[in-house]
Formats: sequence, structure tokens, C-alpha cells
Amino acid sequence: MFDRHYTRLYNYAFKILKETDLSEELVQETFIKLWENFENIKESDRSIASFLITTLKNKIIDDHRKKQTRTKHTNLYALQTTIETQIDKEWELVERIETIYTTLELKTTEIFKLSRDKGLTYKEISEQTGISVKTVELHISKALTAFKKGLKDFF
Amino acid sequence: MEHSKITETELWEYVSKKADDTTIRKVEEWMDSTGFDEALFTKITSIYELTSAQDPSVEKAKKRFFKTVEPKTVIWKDMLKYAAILVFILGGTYLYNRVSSTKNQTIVQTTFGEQKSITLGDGSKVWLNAASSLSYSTESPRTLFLEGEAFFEVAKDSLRPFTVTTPDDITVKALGTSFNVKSYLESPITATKLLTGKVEVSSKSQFIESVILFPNEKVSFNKNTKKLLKSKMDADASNIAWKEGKIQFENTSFQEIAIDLKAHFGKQIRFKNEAIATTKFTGAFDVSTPIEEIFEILKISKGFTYELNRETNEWMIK
Repeated sequence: MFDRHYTRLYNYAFKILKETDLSEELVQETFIKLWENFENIKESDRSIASFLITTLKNKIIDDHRKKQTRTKHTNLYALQTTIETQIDKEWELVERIETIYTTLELKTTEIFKLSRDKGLTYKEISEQTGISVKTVELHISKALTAFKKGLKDFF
Repeated sequence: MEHSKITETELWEYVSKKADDTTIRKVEEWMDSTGFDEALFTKITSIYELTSAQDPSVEKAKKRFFKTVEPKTVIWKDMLKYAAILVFILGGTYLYNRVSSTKNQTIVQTTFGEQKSITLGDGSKVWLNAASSLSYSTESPRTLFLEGEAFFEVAKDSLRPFTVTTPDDITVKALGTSFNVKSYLESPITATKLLTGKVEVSSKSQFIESVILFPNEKVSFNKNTKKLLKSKMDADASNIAWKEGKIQFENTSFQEIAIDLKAHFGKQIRFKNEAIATTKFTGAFDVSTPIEEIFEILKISKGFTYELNRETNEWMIK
């Protein structure tokens, strides 16, 4: 369970915070809070997932507020509104991308991730998966079409 | 121009910096040409940015997480395994850090700021807090004497009672239960808190009738007034804060807090005036917090000044 949620939450935190240490810390605290409240949460995976993301969002906001107080920003309210909108928007994006991946064929997702996340060239993907470069390009093209359509609100 | 024929897969290669020289040249020439579709290029770039994913060290984070929560797991398991949990807190005089056995008598001691855990002969476990001393005879490890503070998890044995006696002659007997006893030598108060089950608090010399406690009840005895007071406690009070590395107090007089602080930091705290000594505070601190920082925080709710007397090595509060 830890592995599954961790990467997802970490990625989300990192997108907003752009700091590895802080992201690690806040996600860590989020899991500890889950642990402390475990008995109170219905053990369905859905409620664990939503508990985690709500906690993490609040932690990001808290952290942001703390920093603001420290630097004594004048326009506190405006900045807070920004982070709160950003926080929901980024999460929407995380979920949207996950949805897009699930609509793709497994093979397409696998190949696209080898390109995007592992940074492999088409040739390298072809060698690793044993399919032709042409077919790799076909999968990439399919994925791009899906992303173009699915992410149009985010461009 | 010939370059106007560009595929999305070539753009993707280019954007993700995995394109070979031929493709790079092709894309860049296309960008300069009239056939350049800027919207498409932006979209592919955006897809690249939006789908970015970090590859965090999950293993490292997991290890750290389980290390943090482990103490709680252990307590939980032990709560089920053992019949009784009790805590004694007694004020201690200056104690040396050593374990000594004289004949059949075993004495385990801790110094300021130190904690120890011991497993007794019958399988019961004891966590000894700072500046404390626990003694028992090897033949009867279920009859203990304690000065200072300790946390007990008592192994079940209905034939042999488990008792802990404090220097002010109060005996707490575990009746197959989990409970928490707090008694300071330097403080007039001895308090017993019951978590689950049942305990009997009695004294040969201090009071006649013994007191039976039920879950979430506590009883305190005041040595000076000889008064016994039984009351309910909230669930939060059942936390054994010091065992979790915290100094915690709720609506407690500064005088009482000073006893805890002395056990952790090893310096006597003296009050120049009665008013501040009897002021009550609520708070929780990590044991690693410097004492000056604790004073600074307490100062926020009630003003006072503190100063370290270098000659006597004591904190003066006024």
C-alpha cells in the first residue's frame, strides 16, 4: 500500500513545491498521520486514498502559510488563493493523467512510459521490448493523440 | 518545402531530447519554415511537461516511515499480549546510572535525561524514565519498589500479584489490567491512572480504605492534606508521553512541571515568587527541546523571567 500511494503523492507534492526534501517530508508526515488515524478510517482503499490526498493538500497549504508569515507577505490573501487553486488544479491533473493512462492499451502505456519516464530512445525501446521501431512509433503516436485530447484544458 | 511533413513522434523525440541529429535538424528546419505548426509544437511540449514524473526513493521513505511508527506498533502488540500496563512516576533524588545486584536484590537506575527498558524474570516489561530507580528481589520480580518514573507492562499471572510500592508507601496492585501511576517524591501528589481493566490502590500507612479504579479513572493522593481524590480522565491523558519522547503536561502548576524538567535536564528550578510557581500550564514538548526554548514558550501565556545561577547551577524563575 505504501509503495502505491507514495510515488503518486510525492509526484504531486513535487509538482507544486519543486523541492525534493520538502516533498519527501510532507508526504512522510502525511503517512504518519494516516497511521495515527488508521483505526478511524474505513479500510477501503478509496477512503485511504482520499484521506492521504486531503492531508497532503492541507500540509502543503499549511507549509505555504507558515512561509508566508515568516516572510510577511503583504498580500497574504491573494497568494493563499493562488496556492489553493493551484493545489486542486495540480491534483486534477494527476488524476487526469492517470485516467488517460488507463484508457490506453497496456502496451501503449508501457512504451510511452519507457520513453517519458525512463528517457529511452525509440531504438532502445525497440531493443528492450522486441518490437520494431515502427511499432514503437505507432504506440507513441497513439499515446500523444490521447494526451492531446485528454489534456486540452491544461494546455 | 519538404520539411513540412513532420510527425508527432518526431516532435516527441525532439522535445524529450532523444532525437538523433537528423531528426533534430529536420525539426528545427520545420520550425523555421512556413509549414511550422506552433500550436502542435506547444501541445507536444506541454504533454512532455505535464506528464513529468519523479522517481522518488520509495524504499528509503518506507524505511523511514516504519522506523517512525514502529514504537507504536510494539506498544499496540504488547497491549494485547500483556494483561496489565502501569506507570509509576515518583520524584527521585540524584541517581547514578548503573545496574547493580547485591545478593538477591536487583537495582536498575537511570540518570538525568536517560531511559532504559528491562524485562523482568516473569516476562513483564519495564521502561524506566529519567532519574529513576527500580528495585526488586530476584526471587519475587512481581514485587517492585520504585523511585522516579516507570512504565510497566505486566505479564499475566493470576496466582502471583504484581505490585509496585512507592516511597510514600502507596501500593498499586495489578488486577489483570492496564494502568498508569504517577507519584512524585518531590511533589505532594501521587496519581494513578487506569487505562483498561482494574487496579487497586492501597496504603498501609496513608489511608485506610483501598481504592478500586475502573477504565479512564484516576485517583490522586496528596501527602500534605492526606486527601484522596478520584476523578474521570479524558482518553488523551492515557498517553504515556515520556515514553514517546515527550514532556507533556495539562493544566499543571509550574512547580510540578519543574520536577519533570529537572528529571530531563538535570538542573534544579527554583521559584522566587509563589505566584509563578502555582501558575498552571498546558503543553507538550519534544525531549530534545532545549530548556530555554521551553521557558520561552511558557512565557508567552504567563510572563516570567528565568536565569541560570552559575554558582549553584540552578534555574531561577521570577
